[in-house]
Amino acid sequence: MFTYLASASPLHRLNPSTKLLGMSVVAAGATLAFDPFVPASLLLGLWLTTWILGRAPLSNMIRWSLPILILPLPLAFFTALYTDLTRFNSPTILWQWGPWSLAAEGIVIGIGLGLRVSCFMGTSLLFITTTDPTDFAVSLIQNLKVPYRFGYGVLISYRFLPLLRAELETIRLAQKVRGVGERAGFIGRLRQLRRLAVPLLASAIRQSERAALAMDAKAFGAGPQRTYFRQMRLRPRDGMFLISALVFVLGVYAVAIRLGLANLQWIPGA
Amino acid sequence: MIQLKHLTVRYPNSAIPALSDVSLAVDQGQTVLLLAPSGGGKSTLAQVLSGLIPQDIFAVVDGRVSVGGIDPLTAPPGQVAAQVGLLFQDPEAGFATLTVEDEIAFGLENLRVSPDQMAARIQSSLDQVGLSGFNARRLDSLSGGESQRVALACLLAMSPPVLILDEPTANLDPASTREFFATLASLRPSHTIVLIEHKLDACWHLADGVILLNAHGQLMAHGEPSHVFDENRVEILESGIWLPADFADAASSFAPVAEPMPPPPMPGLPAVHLEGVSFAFPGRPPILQDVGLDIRRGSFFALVGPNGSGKTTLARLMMGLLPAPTRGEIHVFGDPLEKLSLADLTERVGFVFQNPEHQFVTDSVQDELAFSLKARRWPNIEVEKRVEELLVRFELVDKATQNPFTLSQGQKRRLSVATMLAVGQRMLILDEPTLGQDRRTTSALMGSMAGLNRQGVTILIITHDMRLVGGHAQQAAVLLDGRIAFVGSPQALFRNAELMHAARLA
Repeated sequence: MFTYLASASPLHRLNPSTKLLGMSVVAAGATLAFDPFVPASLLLGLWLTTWILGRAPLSNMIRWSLPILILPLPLAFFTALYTDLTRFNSPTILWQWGPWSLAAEGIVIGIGLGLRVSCFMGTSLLFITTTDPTDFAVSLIQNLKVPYRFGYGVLISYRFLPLLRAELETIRLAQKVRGVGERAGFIGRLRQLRRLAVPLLASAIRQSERAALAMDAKAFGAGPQRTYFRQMRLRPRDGMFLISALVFVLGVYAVAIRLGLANLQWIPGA
Repeated sequence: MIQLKHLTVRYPNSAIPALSDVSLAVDQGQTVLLLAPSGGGKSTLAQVLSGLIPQDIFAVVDGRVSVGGIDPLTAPPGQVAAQVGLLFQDPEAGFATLTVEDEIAFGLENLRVSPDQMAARIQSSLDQVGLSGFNARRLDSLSGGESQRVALACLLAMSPPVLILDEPTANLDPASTREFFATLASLRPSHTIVLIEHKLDACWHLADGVILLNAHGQLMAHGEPSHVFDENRVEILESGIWLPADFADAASSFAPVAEPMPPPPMPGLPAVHLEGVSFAFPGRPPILQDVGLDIRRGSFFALVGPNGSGKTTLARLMMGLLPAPTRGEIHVFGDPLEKLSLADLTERVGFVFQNPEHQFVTDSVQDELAFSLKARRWPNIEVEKRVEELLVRFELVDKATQNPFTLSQGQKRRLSVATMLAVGQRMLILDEPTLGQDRRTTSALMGSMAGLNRQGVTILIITHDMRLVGGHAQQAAVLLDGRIAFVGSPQALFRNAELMHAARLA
């Protein structure tokens, strides 16, 4: 969905681990509020940061925004439909049919929850589109002290996913030629899935075996330590970024509370 | 430099050893060609020398091995990797990173080379393989030939005195193969090289020696190349190994000159007719532009061209596997493509993919053969008759109840062809069916294609292998940058040196 766009923007130049931590701060900020205002403001902030500081082209930003706004819609709708309305003194019922009723209060909560999910997707948008996968893997190992085998696991998954996608497409066509693929119905779909899965797994296992052999032949895993061509340093700007992220989240909360728009159900009495 | 004493290697589930009592020595700075039939233990030997067997792949190993003074059977992996570099057939499967310089650095990092030395070593290894300036290129943007040379640079950066190359050019077109061997020639004096290769014409003159193993993993011969080829010609040909054209006996070889030329196709109705066909995926640059082509019914037609020229796209388009062409018309056996359903099309044309496993959809060989018949609601008695016929014709009778995934490479290939002819298709499209196969598998497949062709089946084969084009095709077309650059007889194509060069076919 989101893909890395190479560039030399200020966001690209940040240490990936710092960026990850900064995004965790924003995501945590989005979890603690139940109103639409806080996640909407955070999402807007993420969007503008990615666009301006990450130098992502506007056309990409618009295309990426669609799934961010559309995918959480079902969640928002069903949350609105199933909100426990007994909590409200006089809920504003907008529509009623049998046991279901849609109230303005429920819609607000639904939108809040949907935007929260959008906000999580916004943090991955910022991170993925501005972080070189190799830098990320090396930073995990060097800055967060993740075991290097695991760090390379992350990197290899970046390599293998597009290969597997291409392989799956070839298998799909290869089977279509045999007259498979026009199956309708649930059982038919399941059978088809199994037919695709067996060759795909067979070739995925073979490919990963080959990759493992090639890596071992180049002495991967020969010792507890290895050196690194890329050095992921922590610089003053990384600290600045973390502080800005924190200030931004706190600022959004301050405004929300001041305007009376914040819904902080987790604070007793709030 | 390399010494083997009574080396025997046995895999846990196999009754016969992969290598049996092999003793030999290779001197420093020598280049030896390692030849063996399929299953003759070539890759096993490569993996023993590079320490993967038994440290990574379990096998019982007897005897003594020494490479550059160390014992790869017991030495720590870092030590072996500093002595021996192993290059695989499919470089892309072995890459662990995303860019050229990261990939070359990968091996240096594992050997704990200091980071400030890395840039210089990356640079000099890229210079050695003729890819200076490729440092920041993404690995997925490289051609097959470039990938294989980057993989070689990865080894060279680790500066091992011994290089072992396991079918390095199997996936490369003729021009990339030539370039790869030219690079190898420049490395020859300073390295000890063990080369496993099918394309002997392009490389046998690089070898100082030839090691010949038989199907049981026993050493048959080890000596000077022309001597080994002359002395063992009969054994080599019988065991299905390619022989350089210079040594091949006219009567028994697979060389194009030896094949009686099939008669030119009768002028007749086209099986496939393309007119002004252009194709592009939405929002992408065009892949095919204004392609016009007639493939006559009953002809044996070869479609050739460099990687990325649009051959596979063209074939898939004929088979209705892609969205309709952006412009132009395709007729299949007289009917416009858009009027034909998938069922109609697959009843007229079979399509054999490069990897036979991709097409298997059931759990046994006989179900596989019956699959499309049952899907077309043939009566049971007819299905049984047809399956029996196909099992006999493709020599799969004793495999009828076996799972297709457990067959040998040659059997898988035969099964995939058989399934594509089950409903009586009148045309067969084969996309690179012989890539990386030995002579026996290749000639068996091409023999059966020639047989089908004599029975009137139209054959369209996509290939890089000029031996096949010269030996079997009546007509050839060259696709270059999405346009048809040539249509005519293979002989006329071979005479057009300029085009052969431009299409990376020579």
